[in-house]
Amino acid sequence: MYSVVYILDGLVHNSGLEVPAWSLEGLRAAATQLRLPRPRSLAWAILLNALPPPNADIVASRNTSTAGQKPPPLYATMNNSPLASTSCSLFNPLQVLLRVQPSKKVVTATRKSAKCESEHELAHNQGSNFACGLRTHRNFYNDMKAKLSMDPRTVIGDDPLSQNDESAWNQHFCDNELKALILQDVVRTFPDELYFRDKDVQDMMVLSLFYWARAHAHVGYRQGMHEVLAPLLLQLRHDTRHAPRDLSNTLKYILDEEYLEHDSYMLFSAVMKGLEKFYTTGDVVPSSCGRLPVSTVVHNPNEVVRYLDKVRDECLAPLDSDLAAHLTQCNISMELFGIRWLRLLFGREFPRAELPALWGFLFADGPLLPHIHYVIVAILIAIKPTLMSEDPGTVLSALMRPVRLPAAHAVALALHLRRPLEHPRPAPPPQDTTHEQEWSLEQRGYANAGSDSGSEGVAEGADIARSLAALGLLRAQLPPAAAALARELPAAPPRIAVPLQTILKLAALLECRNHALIDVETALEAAEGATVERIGRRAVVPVIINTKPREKPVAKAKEVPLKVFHQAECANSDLPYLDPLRLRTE
Amino acid sequence: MTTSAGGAYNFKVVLLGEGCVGKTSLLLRYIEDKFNDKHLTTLQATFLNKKININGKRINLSIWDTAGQEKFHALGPIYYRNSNGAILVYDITDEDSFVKVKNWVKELKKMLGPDIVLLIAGNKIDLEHERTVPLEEAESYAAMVGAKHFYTSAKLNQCVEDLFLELAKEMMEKFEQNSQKEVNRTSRVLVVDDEAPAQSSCCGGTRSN
Repeated sequence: MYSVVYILDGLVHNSGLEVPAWSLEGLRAAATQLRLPRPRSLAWAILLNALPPPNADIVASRNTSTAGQKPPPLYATMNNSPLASTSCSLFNPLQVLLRVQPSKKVVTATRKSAKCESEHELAHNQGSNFACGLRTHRNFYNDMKAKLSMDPRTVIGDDPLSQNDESAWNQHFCDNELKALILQDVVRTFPDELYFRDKDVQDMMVLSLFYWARAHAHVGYRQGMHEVLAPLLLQLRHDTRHAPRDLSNTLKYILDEEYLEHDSYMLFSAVMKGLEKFYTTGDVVPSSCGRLPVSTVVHNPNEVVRYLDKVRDECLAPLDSDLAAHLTQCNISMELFGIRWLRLLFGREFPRAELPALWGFLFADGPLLPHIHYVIVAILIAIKPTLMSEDPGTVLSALMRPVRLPAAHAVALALHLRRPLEHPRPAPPPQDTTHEQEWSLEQRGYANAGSDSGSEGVAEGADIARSLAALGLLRAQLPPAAAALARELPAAPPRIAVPLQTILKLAALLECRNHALIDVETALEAAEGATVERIGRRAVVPVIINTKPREKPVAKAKEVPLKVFHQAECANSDLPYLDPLRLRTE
Repeated sequence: MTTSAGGAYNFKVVLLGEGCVGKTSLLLRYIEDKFNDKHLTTLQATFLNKKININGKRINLSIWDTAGQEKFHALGPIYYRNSNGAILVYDITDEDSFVKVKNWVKELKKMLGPDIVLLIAGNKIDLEHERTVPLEEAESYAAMVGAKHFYTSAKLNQCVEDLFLELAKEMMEKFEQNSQKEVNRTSRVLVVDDEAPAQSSCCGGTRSN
């Protein structure tokens, strides 16, 4: 009981939530309301069944386990964990023993000896199922790493030129090819996130993805997986970095940054348990090098396509037949956008800051993500005004861009669609549909036209480009809109007159082109969250940016060339065979 | 897909090629005149519209930018089906990517027959000193399959505009030819079509036939 409470103490201290919040039910409820307690990465692991929840039930059954009524929940959970289906049992004596139906005595003994190996837990080893589960994952990862990183030079009698499938050398070359394939995507992970420019982080990601691909040969590595791993890494890193100093030893062990690689693999495997089916390609199975075979003419439609067709026919069509029919009429099938939505768990549809809450919501239903289709349908219905456009090009473009929709709204709508009686339909989010229609590529070009000089040599290219785009849009559309408003309200009541005057002043400020540079600076300061009060009048500009049309996401507008890949980096690479690739990127 | 209602042509174009050869960069340069050497990996495919005007004729290009790794994947056909034109991109510093172009040509010819206009683009000529795909090999291959060959650099903005312009022109010609054929067929007159004259481009594009 003791160390579980201890953990909870730490968590409570951390999050300010009640103890019951860390039961599975409590976490589910919190996740559904987008209020997942921190550390979120631990909460995710519990929701995804990768780690047992530190709750009273487990403590109780652990205490009675020697009586032997039923296996302790820790083991039960482990059996359901994604790792149990892999070769985990080879490395984990507990699993092996479980598989051969051991006598209760043996289980108890093994568990005790396994537990005592950990110096971290000597003090609290009675109830720390949580840390124990985590340690099992970490050991598993180490063992897998050792097994899959075998040096072919140590294999006696193997020939580097052997084409034999079982040749260690052949496997070695295949592995390097697969790593190179993965690296191609990894170096392009979240270009605006500095963390992923770190070569060590990139190599770590390559390894995690590589091990997963090797352990799941029927799926292999597919593009997109790196963008599932990346948000998990960010969250884990955030949780370890921002943990309070006065942690218990157990919690220190749990939130140890040393194990970032191990723990990210654990979370990734747990998430992939549900996503795997969206990545497989029917009858096409990747080779051991990760390459997909040359196409044959006829393919079985793969699972994700079937799934998406089903979502359209059985979920979208009954809920909104107009929309379903219109998409069909525009010849837009669900897979054109749905595969990306599913494979990345909506990672490109919503701002990155909103992802942790959204993912918590998705994970709340367990690792198989059984209700994810409601989110798909909710997004489609929420952006229906845009999607009903007559021009198929406009509709497609809208589906290719990030959806301009708060994740909270999509979630609330998804809940409503799933259980209309329990969850009322959320009010539509403030949407500027008029602007949406006019937001063509030409305008994007215009909005960015002035940005080239402004953003030169500034690191945060994407943010600045977006801010400038927003500013350009404001400059183009706010003054006429404000003028029209003033025309319609010639004798406005005082409560309206004052804000109207403010808007008109701002519009006038925007129309003055000479202020271009001042505006940019102010916008940048605002974007960085700096206090701009002291600079007086200029500070008003960001106020509009926040209250007027939401920032227009400018797809692929990160034009500031940041040299990231230097040849020099190759010098001390752990992955010697990847060098040509790095050179090429440079 | 190809209609000239209201005097505007609608053409579907697909960009195909190995991962990391610069498909998205070419498109980004063409549509927004921007270059950025670190953008996201394209997943599945993205879609962009571009309206252009050639000799007073309005052309609406619907361009599909596909993901490199998805090339031989069950979903390939949904992007190139009904395409009027395809740009097959390879990286001049990566021989494998040129092999992939050959595979694509085979697949497209098999699936779509002669109705699709093919262009081949050797991208990244800013890395000329690292070239591994021999100039002659690429050009003679392109000539053999009847595709014009362009050397492009999305980074230095070389020949990108010409590439898409040439594609648009050829698609227009093909469209005119096909409608001409329709007319001829109905009037039972047999006409042997001459291929459109080869047009020179700034990049020394060559073309057979």
